[in-house]
Amino acid sequence: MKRICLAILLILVLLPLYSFDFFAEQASRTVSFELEPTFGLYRDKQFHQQIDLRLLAEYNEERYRGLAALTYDSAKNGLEANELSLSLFFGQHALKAGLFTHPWGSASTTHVVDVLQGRDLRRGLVDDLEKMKRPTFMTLFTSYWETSSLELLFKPGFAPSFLPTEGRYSLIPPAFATATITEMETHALSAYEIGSRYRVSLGKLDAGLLYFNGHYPDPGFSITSLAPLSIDLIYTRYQLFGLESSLLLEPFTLAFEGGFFLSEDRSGSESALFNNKLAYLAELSYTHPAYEAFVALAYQGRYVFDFSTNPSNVDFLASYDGKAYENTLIFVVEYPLIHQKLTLRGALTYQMESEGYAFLLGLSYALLDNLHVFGKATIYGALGTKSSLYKSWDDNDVVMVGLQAWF
Amino acid sequence: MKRLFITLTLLILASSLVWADLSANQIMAKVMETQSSSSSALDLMLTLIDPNGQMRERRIQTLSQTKDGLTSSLTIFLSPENVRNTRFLSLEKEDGKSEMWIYLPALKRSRRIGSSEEGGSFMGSDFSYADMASITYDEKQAVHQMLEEDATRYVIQSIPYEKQTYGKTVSVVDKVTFLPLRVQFYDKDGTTLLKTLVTDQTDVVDGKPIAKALTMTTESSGHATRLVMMQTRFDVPLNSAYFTLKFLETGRL
Repeated sequence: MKRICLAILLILVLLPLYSFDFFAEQASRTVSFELEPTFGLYRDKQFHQQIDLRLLAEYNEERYRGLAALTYDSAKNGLEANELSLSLFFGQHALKAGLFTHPWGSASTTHVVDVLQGRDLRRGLVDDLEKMKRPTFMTLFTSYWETSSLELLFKPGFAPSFLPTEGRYSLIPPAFATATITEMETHALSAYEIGSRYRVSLGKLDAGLLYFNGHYPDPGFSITSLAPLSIDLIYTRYQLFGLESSLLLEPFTLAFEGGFFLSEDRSGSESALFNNKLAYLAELSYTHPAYEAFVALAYQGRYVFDFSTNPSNVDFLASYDGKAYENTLIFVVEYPLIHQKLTLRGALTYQMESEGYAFLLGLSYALLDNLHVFGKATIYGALGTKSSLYKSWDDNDVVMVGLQAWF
Repeated sequence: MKRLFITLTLLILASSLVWADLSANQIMAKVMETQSSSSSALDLMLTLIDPNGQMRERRIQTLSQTKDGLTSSLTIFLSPENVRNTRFLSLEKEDGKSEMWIYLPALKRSRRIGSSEEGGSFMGSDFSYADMASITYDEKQAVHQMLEEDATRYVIQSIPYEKQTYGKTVSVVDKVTFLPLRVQFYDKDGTTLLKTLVTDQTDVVDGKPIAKALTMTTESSGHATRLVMMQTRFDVPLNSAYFTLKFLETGRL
């Protein structure tokens, strides 16, 4: 708490903060807080309570912007930075550096080429893709032209996915709980990552070509000693050659993302390293012209080359039902009602090989512009007995209520 | 003083005679002309009013520019906090249709919007995206017919050639300023009244008459939205870089 107070004080005192205002002759200032207390009840009758306090502070001048977004999590009694960035703007170019997330991909519901940051699964699956990302340090240079743009990025190391090692969302096998884990250095220049994206708008088609040279944010592992158990966590370097596109076919939008992930283990012989793979996604979405109701159906697939059925192979461990391929369907609906006072959101994911599913339902109501109450339900499970993340989290079905206040 | 009064009276009488001869097409063209400018910057407050009187406010700024007969506009949301920095870009193309994008800061992504979504609610208000662009049709967009005329106003019915959002509008136009004082918007069937727009307050800025405060009411729900122009600038030089994907995504020129 002391740390968050100090951070808030520093930002309030040091930064003259403002947001866009065409009519203002000088910069105007903005500091905002978001308070989100949440209370939940899990299927195993465990009660959950959490209070998030977020601070968003922006400092803008004509040619640069500083942004700080911090979250205090009462459950962990910790302060986390969601973004600490500085952006410079000159001519048709923008340079952004710091800790942040940057989205790639053209779909609305899920992505297969949004690879610049790791996952954050500490709260399971939530109804906001951005909140399931772990920010990472990077430098991003963007040049804009009339109908196209080019991004070049450099990351001095990377932030691996937040995969819980304990608690209800833990994905680590119980046998590994007592293991001595050695992790490769991820925040070093040797773990650099680079990437680029070229986007162009051609009539009703928006398309992008992507290249990325980096690491899978989820680790592979090798056992170095059995007694006592010692494990080395290894992150596989790969190159992504991908594309993203969306085509407006009013009132529908068809999006496609796909890419070939060329692994450093090209032959697929190392069990601790991920193999080459193809990932692809197609999404058809529809927005009702008058009611703004949004509906989308997405198909996401993956095929791993030289797939091994060796139980210690990371591709096998990461697979669904021990298959080289993966097929997942996602259905999303969002329906704003009563002049956007009430919003209904729902999402259903069905993983075909494991027969696992996740169902998220949310309802939020704006009591005031800056005060919303919400109710959410999340249900995990599987139609059969096959193991999967969805099956593992079966007891994590939860109903939550809370509110969001901005001030 | 007497001569001045006589001159003014004659001028007013003469102008009344001139306007009396105007056709419905000419009047609606004049209405559009009155509302148009080569560029504008507007600072707007939208107040959403529930039938029970509860109010919610949204502050936006809109920049627009017309070059070679094509209008580009950019709208930026300043409040409330959960939509701050949402930006909306509309670029009119030569075929008369517009390309539209919205940038959502929470997603850090821009998304293309179809022109069929023009009829959708603008920020949960009673105005549609199309209403925000214009509340009347010019002579090329609709068939106009004079329904009534008295000493101070014209009542004109407009039936658009392309019934994208509405099937019919009935506008009450002030004879002096050519501002629409009241507009009724009908469904595509031409008979069901959907919304009514009333000009609550007018003003003159740099010699240009403007509707300073407007209220749009949805007939079926009784929900209303009051739009107040807090600051206005017309025919100001605007950097073309405002109307680009770069500004949409970065908020910077």
